[in-house]
Amino acid sequence: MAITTDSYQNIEYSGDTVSQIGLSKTLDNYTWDEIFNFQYCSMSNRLNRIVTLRTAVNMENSLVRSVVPLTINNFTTTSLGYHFADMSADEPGEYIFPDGMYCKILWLQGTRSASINYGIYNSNKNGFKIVTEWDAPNFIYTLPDPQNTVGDCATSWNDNESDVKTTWSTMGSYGSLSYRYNHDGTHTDIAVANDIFPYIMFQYNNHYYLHQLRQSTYEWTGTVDRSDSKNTGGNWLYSIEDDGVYSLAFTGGNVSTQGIYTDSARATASQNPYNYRYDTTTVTDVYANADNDDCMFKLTYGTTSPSRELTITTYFRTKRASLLFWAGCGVKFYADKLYKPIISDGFVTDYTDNMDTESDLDNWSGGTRHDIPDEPPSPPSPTGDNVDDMTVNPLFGLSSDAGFAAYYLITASQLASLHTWLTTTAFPDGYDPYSYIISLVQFPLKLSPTWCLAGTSGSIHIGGEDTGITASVIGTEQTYHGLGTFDVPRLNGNFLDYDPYTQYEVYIPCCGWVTVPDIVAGHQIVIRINYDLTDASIIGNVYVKINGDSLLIASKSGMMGRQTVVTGEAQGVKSAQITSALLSAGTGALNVATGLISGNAVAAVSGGYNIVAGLAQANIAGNSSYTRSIGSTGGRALLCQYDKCYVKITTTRADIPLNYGHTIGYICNKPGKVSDFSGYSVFDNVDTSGISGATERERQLIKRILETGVIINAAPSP
Amino acid sequence: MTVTLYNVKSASNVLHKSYDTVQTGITATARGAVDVDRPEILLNYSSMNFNYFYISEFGRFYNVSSRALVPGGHILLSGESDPLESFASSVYNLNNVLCVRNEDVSKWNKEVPDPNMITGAKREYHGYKFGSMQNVHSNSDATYILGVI
Repeated sequence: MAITTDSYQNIEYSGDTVSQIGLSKTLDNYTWDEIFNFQYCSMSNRLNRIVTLRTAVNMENSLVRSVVPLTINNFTTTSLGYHFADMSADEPGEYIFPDGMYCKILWLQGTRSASINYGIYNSNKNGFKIVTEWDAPNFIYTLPDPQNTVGDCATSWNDNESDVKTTWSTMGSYGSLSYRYNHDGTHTDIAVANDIFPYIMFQYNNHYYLHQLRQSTYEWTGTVDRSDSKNTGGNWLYSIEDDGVYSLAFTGGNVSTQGIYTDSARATASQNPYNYRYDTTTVTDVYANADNDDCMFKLTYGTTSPSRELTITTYFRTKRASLLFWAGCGVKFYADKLYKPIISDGFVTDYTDNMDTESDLDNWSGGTRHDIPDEPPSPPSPTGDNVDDMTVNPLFGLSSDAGFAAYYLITASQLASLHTWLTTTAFPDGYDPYSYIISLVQFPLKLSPTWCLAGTSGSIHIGGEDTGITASVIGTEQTYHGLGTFDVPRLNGNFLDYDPYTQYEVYIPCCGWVTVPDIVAGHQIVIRINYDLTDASIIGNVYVKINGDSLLIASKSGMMGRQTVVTGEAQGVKSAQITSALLSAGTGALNVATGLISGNAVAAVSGGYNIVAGLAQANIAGNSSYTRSIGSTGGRALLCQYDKCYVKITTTRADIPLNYGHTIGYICNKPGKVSDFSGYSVFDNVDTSGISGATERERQLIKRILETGVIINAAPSP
Repeated sequence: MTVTLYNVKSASNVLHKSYDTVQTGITATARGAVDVDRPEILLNYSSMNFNYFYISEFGRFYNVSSRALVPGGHILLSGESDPLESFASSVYNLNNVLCVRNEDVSKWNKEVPDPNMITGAKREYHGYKFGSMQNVHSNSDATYILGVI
């Protein structure tokens, strides 16, 4: 599983499998650039743990905000008991740190006997490395301290359970809070929140669901659409399925609900992956709801004795058969099982239940608890889905190998120095430095020497003249650059995700839009740019990863940089021309003198002519233009386009009637016995010749009924 | 002939129909030759409270197609055989059939296009942003490749 930007990661732990649900989300009201979500499920000798770390990162400003870790320990299938989510931050709030600095972000005190340390590297703004280190110290049971709050949020923690803040109405700006709530003694709901992401946790049918909600002050009011609802004893039930399971239970007026859940196999397994089960018996207010409208609901946890409340608000979008949360992260935990994240270069790439599988997690030995060293164990390399290593591919020989040309990697300041050298140096007569410059290409990137295989620095020589400017000759003239990866979602989860019902397009920076085949649905795509360092031409490639292999599926040409014009006056040529003319005039003067002395009038006249011609030529040479221009302008427009990759999915949504299966039937195409199926069925390949005792007319009639639609009830008990 | 009368509730295309028994062991008399597919019999019964019957001698269920009260307190009854119910056990165990469509959503083969499902479908557009070129935003940060000979 790759961590992708701008998309939430959802990991489902279920039995022997770990799968990624891949919940999409919208960042309309969100100002941060990147969302990283790191989830970890682990088990020590005594404890099962699920950890969710959500990090909002503003890459440009190198700002990390609201690191939200959550630990849930001691999972059992019977009771959560005291095992609530506990979050404690020694250093809550924002963290601004320079490049390369290693920050100890949070110290967590888990419940009872667990702790977690997080380390996050900021690697030259190129990525973040998240490291976890587990410990099991003596645990101090903590709750938000009512004596130290900002707004409604605790800023410190108190180990006296009775001394808790009793009312939480809204989330504050900073800080965090946690809360335990055991409302009926049979199961425990957990709510944890900070300024951005509240969490709620539910137990339902011995399954535990952790859901991360998104707080907002946005409120939506409107009319509740009850066109598809029914009134059952004062509660309005909004049906999402025809199997008797309801998603929202309303009560009238400014509606509230007693339960939000869906247990529909269709909703959870096939219709869309965004459904979560809820079992909340003391909850909630739903401010508004209508088909396909954006709504908000508020969950209020609490009892009157003692008075404890936690209010969480979030957005959701309703559909007849789904609840689409704009923000969310779900962890399902079906059974006690240990999953180990496979961490490579700071990112979780997969999960495994084989503890012997290698992972960077095994190599972390940076200390315990607060003893995380100030410096990272080793300099992190540029990693991440959007900052793949620049990789060189020196397949071909260099021009410089043949002695024709050399290409230097220079900076803007070195370029300015070169300009100064060109315009102020007193070059030898006849020397034209511009004739030795063949190209100057500007890249809108910081091309590192490593990426270009640049060798040892030395002075730039142009036509044999030493410029005195130190730079390196690049060791390759072509390379490629990974821009990022993206897990393309299947929006429908059925045939509608494929052509001709859905089209997929990818925008490659500096290249433009390219249509990709529907093979990308449900797979990860990789964007890579191959480019020529000598002229800035590029080819953007789109790969799809299938079964571990990358398959090239689309390409588009473009320009990553631009040719830059080099202009100036060839002073050496100019001076050489003038000198040559003056020499000619001098030779004429000598001839005049020689002719007069020898009495050779013809020679004297000829010499006089040479004086006049030479002086005239020198005058012409002095007034002539020796301006040189190399390269060309233009071709920059693409550089002003977006510098990120985009995926556009144009899909088809089917509004499937709830009774579709009963009246038309879902496409099945499965062989078997008639008794293998139930309900409305349409069959093919029906051979009734073996029905003993039936007439031919009866056999044909049976065949026709089976082929046009039969409703199969189970055989009655004998 | 011995006839059992029923009130069937299920539709004609239901295998293993649901019905209530109205009367069992009713004697019927044939009027000439009796077609096993479409029998016409004189029933020693005078009520019309049934819509389905079973003839033991034929081993078949019948939908009532017509019935008329005749002098003597009898009913002239015509029926159409229901082979689906008459041979329900054989049909239920019929093998090597291909179920093209089914009501159970869990059996839905979602990868197969369903032309019925796209009726009334609507288009939606989704956009996602990812990755970065790591562009520099200041000219002084740009890098250059200088080619010389």
